Amino acid sequence: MKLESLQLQLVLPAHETARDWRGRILEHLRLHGEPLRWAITSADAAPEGGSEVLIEAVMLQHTG
Amino acid sequence: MAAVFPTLMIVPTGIGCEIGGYAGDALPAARLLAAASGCLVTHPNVMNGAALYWSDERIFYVEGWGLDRFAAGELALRGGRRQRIGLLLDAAIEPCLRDRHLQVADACRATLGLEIGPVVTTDVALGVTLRQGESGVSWGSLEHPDALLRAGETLRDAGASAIAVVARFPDDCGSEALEAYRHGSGVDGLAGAEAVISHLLVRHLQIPCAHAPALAPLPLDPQLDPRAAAEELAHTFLPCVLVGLSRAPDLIQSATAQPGDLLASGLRALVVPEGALGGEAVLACLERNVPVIAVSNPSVLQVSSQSLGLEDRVIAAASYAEAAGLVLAMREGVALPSLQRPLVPLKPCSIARD
Repeated sequence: MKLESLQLQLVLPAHETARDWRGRILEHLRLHGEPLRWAITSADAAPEGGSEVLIEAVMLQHTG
Repeated sequence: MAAVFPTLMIVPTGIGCEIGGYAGDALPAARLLAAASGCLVTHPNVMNGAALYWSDERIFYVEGWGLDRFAAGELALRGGRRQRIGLLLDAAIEPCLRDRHLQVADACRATLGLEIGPVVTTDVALGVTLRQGESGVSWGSLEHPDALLRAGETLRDAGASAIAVVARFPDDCGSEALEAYRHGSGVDGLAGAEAVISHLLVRHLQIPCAHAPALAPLPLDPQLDPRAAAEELAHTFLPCVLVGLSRAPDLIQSATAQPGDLLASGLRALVVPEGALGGEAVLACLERNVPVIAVSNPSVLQVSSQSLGLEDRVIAAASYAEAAGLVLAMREGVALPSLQRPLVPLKPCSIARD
């Protein structure tokens, strides 16, 4: 097992509500491994509506 | 007093919160929220004051990974048990510092009556590293996470129902970052790695765990900020962890919860810093429509209700005292608009007819 840092930029679309965000973020994080600890660390309004967010995470990579 | 009003209090670690970013300096706020709610669920960063601590039967001490899973509805909390605390020591801790930690454990046994033991040392040094994210948030890692988990399994198999971990952290005496922290600004550089350590153990073992860093003593600083003072009273950061874990709730799979267990569906409010709305537990509470009280508590983050478009989803509080008043009002069934001015008169609305 090893730990890796990850930074991800995502757009949370305007048509989605806050109820959808955690699931959407987890979906993207799981493409890179198992998220151990993560949070949105910056958020700005996206030009096309919704929010542009930066996720910082510590990911578990299972080796062997 | 009305029935208890289970409330979740989060002050994220490693983001430099004005209140809670130091040595358990959010504890007074936690005490007040526990009194207002009758049942407060919070995490070690809020409760840990190194040599200082406060034991309150109304407060559930839940490590951050467990807290996220609880808020997401995956785990329930079962209080009431006195935990038997296994002590997990990093092989990298030098003998005299290791002995200081063992003496703290013995003191907690003799003077506080805590059940502590056994003690296990990792088979290799854990290799803690510290890092700062782009946002300024404290992060960190371990070179040998498997060694941590092996030691944890040994303690669990030997009968420990909770684990206190002590890992050797890099000393950075004289660094600008440390000086800033000691003087009441900047971010706790240890916090990110501490969270990773406890998250790994709770995720793997599903029992309460918490962490205390092992560090060489610092020289006296006459300019020490009061908020950082609790970490410079003694040789270790361990007492608060042992006291907190001694009464930590068991973590139960929600599907097997019994009457009396606390589930996320029973949460009645969340109290969180206004600029730190991007954590997993906060998003899980938003999913469940748990009322969110966003307290003015500046940090390095600006993930605010405004930046997320959540202004109509959160209740603003200028202070933790105000937040406690809001929790008490909700607990007593006092409608919050009735406490504010102006109070907009009701107007009949038209009902659409087919």
